[in-house]
Amino acid sequence: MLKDEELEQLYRDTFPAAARVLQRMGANLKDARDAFHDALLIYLEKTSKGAVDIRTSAKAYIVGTARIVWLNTRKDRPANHDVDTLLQQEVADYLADEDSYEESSEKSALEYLRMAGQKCMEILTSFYYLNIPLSEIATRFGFNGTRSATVQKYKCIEKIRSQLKTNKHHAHRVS
Amino acid sequence: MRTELAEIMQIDQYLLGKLSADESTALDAMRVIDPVFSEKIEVQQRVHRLVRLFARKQKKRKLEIMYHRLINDSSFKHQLKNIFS
Repeated sequence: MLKDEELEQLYRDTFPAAARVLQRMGANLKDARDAFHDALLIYLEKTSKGAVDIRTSAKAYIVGTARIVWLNTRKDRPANHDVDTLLQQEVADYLADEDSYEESSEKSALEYLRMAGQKCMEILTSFYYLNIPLSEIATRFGFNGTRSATVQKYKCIEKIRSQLKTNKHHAHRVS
Repeated sequence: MRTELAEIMQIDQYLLGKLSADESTALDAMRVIDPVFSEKIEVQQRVHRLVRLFARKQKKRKLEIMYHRLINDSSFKHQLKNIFS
């Protein structure tokens, strides 16, 4: 995972190039920024899984991804035959997740995550999003070894799971 | 580990593709024949997705702050101004 300074440097080096490409495709500054942020997140998620092809430079990957994101989010999107289909699929998966957030049920479900507490959120995002190994999570959060961190992670899931279930049953009763 | 937690662990490993082929096939079958268990898997899948959405929201906020810091830098601002003028 990139350090904050490295991420800022990557932003500084890459955004103007992405903006130039997107502007030619009709994006304004705000649109270009949104597509660039999505592309940057897709890149960071890929690197945290160790899944970036080292033959491609970060800049080329992010600019190419931003271009696909922009094409996918445009309502009048043109046929798009010239792009890498694997990358196209990765962008589509990412955007499908983002669309699911727009559903109000998922927006309110995020509240249940917050109700599990700050520490749970940090542990879960460290493991499931940042792909940090549990041994390192144990050290960072002061657990007495990997096993304790593992148990705590499952307790956090248990809390959220029961909140989601309770709410679902409540919603059924109301409707 | 409590039974409930052991079950969460098993489903988690199933969703992350960390079970052996045999164990995974057994859970695939349970998913078909046991609707209660199947619902538990779906809920846990949703938890994974919510964690991802939550983390992305946080990260996007951080990128917005980064943008506003960078736009105060005159050379960065000038580059963007040239592109969008």
